[in-house]
Amino acid sequence: MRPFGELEAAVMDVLWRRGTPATVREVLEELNTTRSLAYTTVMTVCSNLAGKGALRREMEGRGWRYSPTRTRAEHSAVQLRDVLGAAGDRDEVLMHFVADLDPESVASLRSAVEAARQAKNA
Amino acid sequence: MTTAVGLLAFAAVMAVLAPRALGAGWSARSPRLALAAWLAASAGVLVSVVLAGLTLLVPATAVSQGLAAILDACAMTIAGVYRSPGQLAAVLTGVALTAGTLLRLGWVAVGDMRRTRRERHRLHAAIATGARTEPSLGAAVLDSDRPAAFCLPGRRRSVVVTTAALDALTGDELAAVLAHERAHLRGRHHLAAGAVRTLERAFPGVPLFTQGRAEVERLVELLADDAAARRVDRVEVASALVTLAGMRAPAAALPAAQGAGAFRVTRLLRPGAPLGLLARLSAGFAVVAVVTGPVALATWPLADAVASGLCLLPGADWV
Repeated sequence: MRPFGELEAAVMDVLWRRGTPATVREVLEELNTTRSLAYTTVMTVCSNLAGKGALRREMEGRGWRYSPTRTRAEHSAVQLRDVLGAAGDRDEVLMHFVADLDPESVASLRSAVEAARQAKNA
Repeated sequence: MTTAVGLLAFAAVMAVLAPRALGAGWSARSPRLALAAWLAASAGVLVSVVLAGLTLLVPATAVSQGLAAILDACAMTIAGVYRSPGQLAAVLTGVALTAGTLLRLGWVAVGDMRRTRRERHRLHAAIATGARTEPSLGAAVLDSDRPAAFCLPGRRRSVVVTTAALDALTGDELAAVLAHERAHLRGRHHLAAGAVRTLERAFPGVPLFTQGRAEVERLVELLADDAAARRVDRVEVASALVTLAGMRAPAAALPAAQGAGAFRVTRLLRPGAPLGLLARLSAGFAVVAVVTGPVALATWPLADAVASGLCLLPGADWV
């Protein structure tokens, strides 16, 4: 899953803090306490996020109401799990414990470990 | 001119030959010394090239006469540029070497730092909300069916283990994994690894930097293994490695990484004797020499003149 862009993250943040479905107008008002965005900009971001599956929308009256499909915590967990799977840029940011072993050597290394453990306890 | 050629020759020899000396088997026996040697060799090459450029810009005779003379020499050099074509070539080479090296390195370093900081910030935020902190472990726990453990350095440093890893590891193995990750954070291993990655990216194709990156990444793992072995037990560190690696999807494994993993396990089970005192001393001397050597070579004319008493350093009469 691609991480959110700056504006996408801001929209998600508003919706997560509200906790209830919101119209584009409501999201826009909340965002524009600190910046000045156009209605159409926020509308595009919301429909993109819905397209990506991050938001669900339901028709209410004459417009859509948007709400996040995942909680903030669920979203973060998904992001972290992605880190575990994919190599790439993120490998430079964090340090994994595990080193890969080929399947054949796992068995022989396991028995070497057990032998060492017994020698130590003996 | 001779000085510049000497410095460049030193840099070229180091860039090609140092990987052979440093890649030998001794590095696993004293990973800390080997790490210092790789970093020093890389720094030595950079310093040599930059100093070679500088010595081309300032004639050595002028350096020996103090700061005013350098400024004078600077003016003379600029004036001289228009007279002799040979001098122009030297100045252009000097500017290219010094400014080129520093600008290229700075450019790549700033980009790398920005990207790393942004990514780290994002992951810290994700850990804060997506993983639960487990004070008894001193680590964050992430729900996942993939067994893994990692650490995220930075000001808000954290160690993360997945629930699958918690299920798979025994108590001792888990302690070993956590000690390994904490050793990374405590030793600030990400700084060394980040520096050599930046060098490789800035100057691709230089054997010293290419192999240095791979070796430093390997050596910090060995260092963290050793730290964990001291705190917990070397057999338990090896056991944790085999347990976690054995559960991973084989398709995701790279051949090179497989060899590295097997090496770490056997090394933990049968640790080699640390290097002897003499070997450690000579390696330590080499580490110091590869950095101070080029500096000494470049500043030799200055030091020589001061020692002979023929000139005073600017400000020397204040003392």
